[in-house]
Amino acid sequence: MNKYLPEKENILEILHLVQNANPKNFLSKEDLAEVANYLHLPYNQVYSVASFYSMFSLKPRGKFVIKVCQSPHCVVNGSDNLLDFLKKRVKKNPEISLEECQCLGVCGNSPVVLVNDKIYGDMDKEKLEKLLKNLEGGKNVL
Amino acid sequence: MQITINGKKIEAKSGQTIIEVARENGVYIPSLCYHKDLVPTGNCGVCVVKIDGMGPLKRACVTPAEDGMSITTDSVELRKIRRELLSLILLAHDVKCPTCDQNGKCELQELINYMDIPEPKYEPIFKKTAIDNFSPSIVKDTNKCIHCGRCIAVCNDIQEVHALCVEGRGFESKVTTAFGESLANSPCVNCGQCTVYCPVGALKEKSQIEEVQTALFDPSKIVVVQEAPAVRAALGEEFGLDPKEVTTGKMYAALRRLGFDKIFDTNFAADLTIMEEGSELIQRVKEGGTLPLITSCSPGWVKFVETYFPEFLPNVSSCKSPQQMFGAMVKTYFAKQETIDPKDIVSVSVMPCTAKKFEAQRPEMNSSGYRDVDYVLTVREFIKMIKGAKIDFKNLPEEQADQLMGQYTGAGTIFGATGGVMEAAIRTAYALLSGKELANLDVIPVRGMSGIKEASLDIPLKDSSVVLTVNVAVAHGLGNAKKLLEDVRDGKKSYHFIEIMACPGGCVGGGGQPYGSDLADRARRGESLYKEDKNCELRTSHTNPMIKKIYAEFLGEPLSHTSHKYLHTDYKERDQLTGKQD
Amino acid sequence: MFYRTHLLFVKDDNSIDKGLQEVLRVLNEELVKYGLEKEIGVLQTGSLGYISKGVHFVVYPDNLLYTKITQEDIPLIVQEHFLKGRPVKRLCESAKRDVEFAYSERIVLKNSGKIDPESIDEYIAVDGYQALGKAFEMGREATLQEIKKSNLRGRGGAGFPTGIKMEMTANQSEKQKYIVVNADEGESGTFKDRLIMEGDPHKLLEGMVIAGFVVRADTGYIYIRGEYSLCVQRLKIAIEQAHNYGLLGKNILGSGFDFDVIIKLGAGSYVCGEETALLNSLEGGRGNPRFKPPYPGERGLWNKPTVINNVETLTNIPAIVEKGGEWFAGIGTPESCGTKVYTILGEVNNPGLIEVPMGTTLREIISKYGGGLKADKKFKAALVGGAAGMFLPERLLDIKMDFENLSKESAVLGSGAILILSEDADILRILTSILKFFLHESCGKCSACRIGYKMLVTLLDKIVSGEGKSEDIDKMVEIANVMRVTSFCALGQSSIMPIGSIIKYFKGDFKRFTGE
Repeated sequence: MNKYLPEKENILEILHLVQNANPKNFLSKEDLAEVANYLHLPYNQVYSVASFYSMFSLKPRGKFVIKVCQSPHCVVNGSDNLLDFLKKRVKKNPEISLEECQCLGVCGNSPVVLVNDKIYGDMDKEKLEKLLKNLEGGKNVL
Repeated sequence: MQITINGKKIEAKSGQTIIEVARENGVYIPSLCYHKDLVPTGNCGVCVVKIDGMGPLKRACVTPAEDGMSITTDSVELRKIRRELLSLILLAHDVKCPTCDQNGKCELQELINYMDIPEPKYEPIFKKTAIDNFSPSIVKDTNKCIHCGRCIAVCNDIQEVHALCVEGRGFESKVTTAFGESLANSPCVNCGQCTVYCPVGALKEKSQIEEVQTALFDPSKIVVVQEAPAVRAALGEEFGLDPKEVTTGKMYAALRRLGFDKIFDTNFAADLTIMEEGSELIQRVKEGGTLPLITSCSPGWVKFVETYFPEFLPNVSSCKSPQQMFGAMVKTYFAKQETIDPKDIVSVSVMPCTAKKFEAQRPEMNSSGYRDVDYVLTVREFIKMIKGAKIDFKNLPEEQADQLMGQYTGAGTIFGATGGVMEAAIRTAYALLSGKELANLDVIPVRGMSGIKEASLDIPLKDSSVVLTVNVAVAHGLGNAKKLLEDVRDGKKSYHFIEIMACPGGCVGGGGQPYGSDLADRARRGESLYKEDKNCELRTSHTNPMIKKIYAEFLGEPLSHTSHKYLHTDYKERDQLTGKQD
Repeated sequence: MFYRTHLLFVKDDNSIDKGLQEVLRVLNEELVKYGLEKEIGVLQTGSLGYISKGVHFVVYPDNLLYTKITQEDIPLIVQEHFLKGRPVKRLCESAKRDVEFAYSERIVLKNSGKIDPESIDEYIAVDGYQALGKAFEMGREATLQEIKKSNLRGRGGAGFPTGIKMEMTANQSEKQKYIVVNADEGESGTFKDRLIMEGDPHKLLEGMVIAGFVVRADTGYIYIRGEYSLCVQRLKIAIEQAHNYGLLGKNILGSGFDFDVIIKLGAGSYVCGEETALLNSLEGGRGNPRFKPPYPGERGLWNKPTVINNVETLTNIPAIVEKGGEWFAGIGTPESCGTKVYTILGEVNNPGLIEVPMGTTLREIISKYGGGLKADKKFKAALVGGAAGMFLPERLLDIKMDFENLSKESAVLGSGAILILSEDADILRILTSILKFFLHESCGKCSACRIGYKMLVTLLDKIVSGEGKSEDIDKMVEIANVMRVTSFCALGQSSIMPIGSIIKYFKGDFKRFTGE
């Protein structure tokens, strides 16, 4: 955290940092208390800010976070169906979390799926199935 | 400058918003989230008006009036828009009018009625959330919340308690504590200001009417009641009486008709508090104890200092609040005098306060060997009981309180207003230190609604040529308290004695007072208490004969061993996240 | 080092996803194998604007474009083209025409795909930072006059004249002022700002310093989407280089003017693209919009006068200062000067980024730049202006794309996103995704937007599931209209745009479900 001055304007950067350092890929109560303390801000204010932004999770997440783009362009190319497919498919695995996301700007390869920082374009059910198998094996590759 | 509203030319002051100008001139602009005590948020959008030449509609609550503006506040078009908007708001509101605490007072209900909104054609779309009723003081029903933002403003900006916040965003957003914990498990100090400002009953007190009614019907129980000073200052408003007058006699009469066995008065305990706290002050000054001494009457404040300023805990008076002193005396002194088994006593208090419910449940508040105070009713609950029994309050006779713990002085009365405890303490401390009564008992500098008040008083010590200069300060509203404490902590200010009340205006502005009241109501209630004080024959606590009696027959003297056992307490630091003690 | 041939590889998330790194690895091996590594230079550039050409690169000076290259293609290209001088036609047909298109008429994207965005020297070699020097020479007032003369209007959607905005802030007497770049591009199907920044980050910095100089601001913030990591990386490199060259920091180019740039990451919130919400977010709060007035130009970041501009707006500034306001005003139409960058997506042959003069017709954009509809399908609608835009029908294909002509049809340029739909498209499915997007992104501050989108989605679901009646359609319009006039910011105000335009031009798509 010391990378940033203890000023309110640095809260998003600090939250990003703290979330990335959390092994469960989320912001815990302890994390937010620490940030509040560092920034001299009320705890509930830090919570309120963190809960506003979709890149922050306040619940533990798996090692892999799959985000499926649900922007119109990807929906036209079937990403809504992919999401439905994934919802059924990843339910049981605690290491894989599923989220929706908005346009990642990789529309040329639509429909797009993001796993942690890695973008996978032109997705279909077969590719997703293969990707999931790899993720279940601990590898973020297709 | 001049603006035109609905074709009528109106003078406006620079810096005023359109809604302020309109209200000042008797033009009603429907609004929902707007409250004149608070910084407007513009959240609801109901107050949109048409301004010539300004294109889209503007919110009257946040748009500043400008010279030459021509504003239309009502038209077929505006009505249609407001109706459609209110219909939407209604769809996201859990309509529970008959069982709702705010029924008849609800600002949404009033608007829906006024705007003649029909029964919704669509199913409600709010997401059902569990009601939080774990706090001893406050119940939060998010399903009714209309996102006006008032509670957030009061909790964070005015009180600086930082319990409530907005979680998430959009339709999924809700007013909650951090991580959606119960208020009982949060830094909430139970001040209840959120309940006073909530327009729709999403926040209310935790009712104990049922428990009290059950006790009243139980022939084996002696139900004893005390009423805080500020209660009598607000009742008149509710029953069509002159709001500038207190209603002490009618209040006693109503309680008697409700079936309470003994009607006493918290004012008596306020006088008792002054004896103890005044003596504590003198002792600390004389013996070099921790100064400034800070009052401890306000349970919201006490939890606040335990949570956010634990370094000041040695400064907080060890005196219990009047409610708890009273409770301890009822089950000891009163029980002894009347030879009643304290287990048969049910001790009830009527308070302008929601935090008093929490205070009564603090584990240490059992010095009598029993719960010192069993049930706490807010003014709102009391009013409900009066109305529920169809008591014609307005035409009740003026009655007296019962003897032993019912007599009080003007000093006890003014406890209900900000600065009142300070003024009462000054009157008695002056007499105790100088051996003479203060020439003018009115200590004007500590009265009134300004957030932080200061005064300095020269006290000639008896049998000595030394004149002691006592510096005092008064803060009401926890945001002001915070500011004052920070100044003291940083060495910018130095005092002997500080009065702090959690609620703006003091107890007359308490979280248990009628819904919909504003700062002007609070100021007026305070004035009515000062008026009663002025009319009291006795105006200093140490002159109360019943106080003399309790010391003679039971307590001995202030700060005695017995006093300490029953009337004093101690404090413990709380976790800032959970509001819990170890 | 002198190379006889340069290979300019476009590095963006599209090409990375398609295996850019593997291609480069194999290419390097092959070049070494044939001893060509000293003759053939391999560079990585920003986007040319293409997004569906996989791994692609331009060969200079041959001016050929290889597209959809895989690592298997590389040995063949190296042997045939670079060793024997015979381009592999199968992999680079019609490339010449594409390259010409890509480079024509460009201001904002002029360098993108041509220079290495990670090299300040390359930017300077194409006359970069000359405008800044010129601005210092001309002085504040003259520079502002050029910007005003150019008639440049904000490219973020509202189209407010940039010069007037800057003048308002320049006239404020407060000492502390700020420049804020709105790079929080959250609109679906819009990624123009990202590709501008990835392709030519120094141009944005130069625009910022000029703007800061004009209004006397000493700090500039770039508020950028949290997801844009490549972009952030390139901007950071650019800022460091500019510092090293004395083009940022204290006493820039000896002018006595100080200016610094700070990158701020967003964290996933579309509404933060609204300028006052962005300011709240920048200050470390929730991204709720603020009430206007006061406008940011008077009281913006920390209540100080602040110029907030879109990335595209600011990247026009260097060219305006360099070539003069009159030159810029001569491009486009009288009321909408200069060029506009669009992202064109959907069922067209060449989806991607284009930069064309203001006033270019929708038809020309689709046929010439978008390469026409895929498989020669019939055109049905163009969603113009992003999710908060309008569905335009075939009869409006000849509409000139500029502020004034679009506003005649109540349409907007918005984010510059154009989604082309063919006869097969299901407009209500797209509307559902749009409304769900706004429902998800609404900040929740005002009642109309918070409840309105929920109700609109509920009603549309009902209609699409076949249980709706025509009164449900009317209700949607009523709600959207109330949202238009009582929502706090544009996010809620604009729900009427897509809904209203469907009712107006494609009502049959609704009626299909209500059976009337």
